Amino acid sequence: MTSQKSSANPFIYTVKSGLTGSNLVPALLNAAGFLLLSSLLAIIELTRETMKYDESQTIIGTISAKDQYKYVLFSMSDMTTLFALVVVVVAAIFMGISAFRFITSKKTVNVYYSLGITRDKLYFGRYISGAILLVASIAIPLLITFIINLIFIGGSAQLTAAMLYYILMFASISLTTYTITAAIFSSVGTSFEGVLFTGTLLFLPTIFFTCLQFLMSKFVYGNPYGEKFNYTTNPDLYSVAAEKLSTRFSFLSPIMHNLNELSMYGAYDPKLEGNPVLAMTEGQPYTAPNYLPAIIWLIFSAAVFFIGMLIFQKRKAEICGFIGTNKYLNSIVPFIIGFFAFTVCLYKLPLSTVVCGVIGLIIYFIIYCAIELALKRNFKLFLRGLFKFPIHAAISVAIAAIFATGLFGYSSRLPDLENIQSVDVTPVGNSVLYSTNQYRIGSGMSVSCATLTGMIDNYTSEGDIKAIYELHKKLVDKGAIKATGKSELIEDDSQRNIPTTIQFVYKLKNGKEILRCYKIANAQMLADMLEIDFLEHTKETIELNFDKAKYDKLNEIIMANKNDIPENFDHSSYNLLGNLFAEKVSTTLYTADGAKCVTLNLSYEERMQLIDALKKDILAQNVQQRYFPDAPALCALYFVQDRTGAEGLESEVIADGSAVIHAEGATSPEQPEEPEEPEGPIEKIEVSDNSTVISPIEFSSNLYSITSDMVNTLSVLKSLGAEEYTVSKPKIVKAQIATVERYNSFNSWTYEYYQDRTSLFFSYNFMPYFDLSSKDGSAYAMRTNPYGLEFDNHETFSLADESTLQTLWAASRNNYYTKMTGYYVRFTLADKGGYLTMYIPKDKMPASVAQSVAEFESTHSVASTDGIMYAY
Amino acid sequence: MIEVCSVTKKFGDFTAIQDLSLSVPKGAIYGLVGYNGAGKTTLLKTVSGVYKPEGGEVKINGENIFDNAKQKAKMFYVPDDLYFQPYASMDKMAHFYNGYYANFDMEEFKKLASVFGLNTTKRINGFSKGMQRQAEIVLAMSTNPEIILLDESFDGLDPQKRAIIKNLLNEYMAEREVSIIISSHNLHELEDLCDHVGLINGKNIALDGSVADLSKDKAKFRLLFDHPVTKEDFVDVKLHTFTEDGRLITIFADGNVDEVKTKLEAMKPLLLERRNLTLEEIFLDEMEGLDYDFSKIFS
Repeated sequence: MTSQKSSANPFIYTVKSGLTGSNLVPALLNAAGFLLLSSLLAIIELTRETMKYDESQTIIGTISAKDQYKYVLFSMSDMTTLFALVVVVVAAIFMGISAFRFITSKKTVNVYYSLGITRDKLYFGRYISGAILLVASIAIPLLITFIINLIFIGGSAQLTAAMLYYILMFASISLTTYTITAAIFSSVGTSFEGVLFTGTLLFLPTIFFTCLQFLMSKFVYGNPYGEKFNYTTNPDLYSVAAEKLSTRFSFLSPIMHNLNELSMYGAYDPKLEGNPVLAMTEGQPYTAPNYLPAIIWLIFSAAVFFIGMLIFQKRKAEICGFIGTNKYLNSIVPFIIGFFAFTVCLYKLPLSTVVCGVIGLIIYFIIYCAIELALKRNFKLFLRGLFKFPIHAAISVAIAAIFATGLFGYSSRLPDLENIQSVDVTPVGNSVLYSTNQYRIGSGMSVSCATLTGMIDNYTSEGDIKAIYELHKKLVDKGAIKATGKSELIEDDSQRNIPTTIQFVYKLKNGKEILRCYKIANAQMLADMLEIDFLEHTKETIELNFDKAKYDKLNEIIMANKNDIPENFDHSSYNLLGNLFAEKVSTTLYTADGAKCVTLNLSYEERMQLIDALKKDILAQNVQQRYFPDAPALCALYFVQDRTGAEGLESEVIADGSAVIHAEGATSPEQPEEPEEPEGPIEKIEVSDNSTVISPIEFSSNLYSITSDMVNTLSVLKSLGAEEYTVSKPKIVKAQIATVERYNSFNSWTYEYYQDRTSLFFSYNFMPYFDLSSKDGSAYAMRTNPYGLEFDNHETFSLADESTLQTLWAASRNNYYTKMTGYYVRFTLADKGGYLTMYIPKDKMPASVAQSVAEFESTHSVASTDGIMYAY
Repeated sequence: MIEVCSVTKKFGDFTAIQDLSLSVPKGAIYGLVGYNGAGKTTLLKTVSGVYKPEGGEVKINGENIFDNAKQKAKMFYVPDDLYFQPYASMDKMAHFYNGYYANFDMEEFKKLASVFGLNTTKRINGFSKGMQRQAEIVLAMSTNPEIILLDESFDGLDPQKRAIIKNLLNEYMAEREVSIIISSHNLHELEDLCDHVGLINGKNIALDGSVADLSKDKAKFRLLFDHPVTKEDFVDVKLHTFTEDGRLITIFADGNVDEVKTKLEAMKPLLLERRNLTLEEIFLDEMEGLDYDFSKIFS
């Protein structure tokens, strides 16, 4: 009998045997994941019938998938491709473990290293079988989905391109992960290390750049990374998030490198192009997928493969079973984990930098010891290796120091003036003037201004750019500063530093963009930045908020598209301008003491005259008049569009204060009641007690404080017979006074008197707050002003001396740039007139009262909530 | 032909073997003896190409063995710590080795398995330790290697199975010109098997040579006299040991065996019987005066 001799080819056998056994498990996981996330969901989507509506939103039939889509490879959700990514990464790691864990066992190494196959062929054979399984387990389900698409919809270039994209992209991610896992296993002694180091290295770029982001945010004054850049002049009040460092450098991450694009080609519905609400195409026209990242990562995988093979060839067999044998990885892993803990402490702990750093290093040391002990499992060896920790600590501290010292001048570096094409900048003054933000009069007769001061974009004139540049330079020259405690009384108010958000975006002539974001600024610096209000482009922006032509144009669009208002329609401007220029507008004057509410029944021409005068006066103001007025405001003018049936349109206030226009005939959730028809002839001026005013509450309105410098406006008011209401002599019976600093310690939310959290513009109201007990009946139950209650809840200095009260009234302001110091005063009006809260600048407060307040506050402590105020 | 040339193998700071040299010619069974931890396994793993030495080299048929697929394909290393694939039967392992060894003989595999009475379809992890060793030796011999490295392969085997393996190895040697190194911490296990022996002593080979050479000029005889004799009566013979068991005397003498025999015959014994030297006796003789704890290998 002839012997059955083998004709073995060890390499071929290695590959073939690798295509079976435990390697099938991760491959099946991959395949199952893709069949579920791609093939099954595609079938569900493609067999689903979508309702079809006519213009009146009546169902008129169904739309088949063929009519709707060009293809469906994944559901139109970001999550589907994200899940697929998770499956791919997990399966690839498992494949790496399955194919190469043999290298960490003495028993298997004895066998495999003594076999008649070279190490490189053994490595290649084991590797290639795993790679084949991974790619096949991705490609086959996607090909099935491709065929499903062919059956349901038919072929298209986009379908083929998308299928190739996903096969290539997921295969590249899978192979990169698998290759790194294989290389790591080749260089360590145990599977535990293999998994630990693989996980760490795969996420190393993300972790490292997250650490740098922490340091950048903490130390680098002006850091733009990870910040939202808001624009106040944009119709949609859009904000652009500047990438975080981890996102910016995600191209270095083997897993996250194409995360944003991964969901873009899941399905293609041509009708959705240009629709920013649906994420598939992000409103962009179809563009072919970019295969380059996948190809680059495949090349990277090939490089890692060769490195892994080299390590495998040189590997000392005796390390298997022993932990901690790879000194390089042993150093990297505790470093990256420890460094992460260190930077988290620096960034997050609300303590001084030094204390944060020390705590961070202690935690780093604990992590270092834990990992070292786990890796070495020998106390003597551990002690012997402890000398490395100071090196780790020194490197971490050195990196932190680089950021703390301004990142090689990054903090103070500005572009060359002559290279600047345009600048966007955050103004810090009265944002209502140049944004579409509006005041709202609430049901409690309170006035609020839900503003968010973003940047004014596109300063292009040489003068404007230079002025902003100089202000920026001045800001930068002050260097990184620490916020002053919100209730901290300091000797020198010029040293007060305020949390805020000041942003600059330079667009350079070479097309580059430089962004900076400052979260703290000196109060005086902020006051200096009020200069921005008076730049050429800011004035143009303010003028736009009084631009009738703009309103007419917007109105035309509305009237022409009642049933199909364009998606990008500028609702904010339309509402703002509508309050001034709409056919029916309610014009009201509030006296400075809030005691009277004067309805001005103006003709359209009279209203235009008043608005024009107002515009001229506002544009003619200087910084002193607008932000540091010498005298209290005389009155306030309030414009609000009467939307009840006006021009066939109605508005519904939505959460952010903007309004949604409903076309005539369209369903509206709430129909405001028709106003009662006035009886008898309409008087030009109707005066009422403010408590009886029925204002069109909850509608955003345009509210302007009128000061003595606004001569044009005052002149028109005089001509209308309203002059007497510009002079107030309130009957005050009591004043409660608190320093701004003390008031700030009453609660943690200190912005109630401010327009927003960027500006220090005190802009309170003329409407008094009524004590519930002062009136009877339910009509007043809703009139509790939510603001100013802190005076009821905390001890404050008070006085009732009549002459002093009049002095205080004369010193008080309702609109003033506070620099976060000075006094809040709540006046109690006589005859149950309610309360009125005003601001008194430090230098306007009579010395005797100031001293009394200081004495009172030094002897009446407050359970302080001292801390740092936070900007948005 | 196995040549170990000045091999040094270190594990970190620890030197397991240092500047060690030995050679095993074709057709030789080399017994590598040493107490546990003496370096036998390290040496075998280095010879098999599992370990890469820090110094020196191991040559098989004149070629460095490390990562040498051609030479390794002719070699089978049976480690002390056996490996079988999870849930594998002998058949499955045979398929595995069949994939890597061009000379794997499936027929011989079946035949050898039946010699030991092993069921090739049963899971090996259900086998006893001794059966697993037998299975591995069956697999090893089925690959028809030119070099077999056996690390403590007799450990755990009962005398009968040990005898079978010895016979198999001897038969295998008779058929082919192979080189075998078999290590053991127990000298008695290698008795009647090795024609070459080496004693590894910590980092180096303390004694190395063929059994014939080592036995040369050493003679062991059993004698019976009809009259009382004492050690002093053997004046012409260079006695190494003299043992009396009643009237039966056993001597171990140095010198030419024939010359010693002639001298003993002149003493007119009733019985003169030449006996083979045991490895123990050879080692004891060779290592006399040296600091070596033989109790560890003579147990």
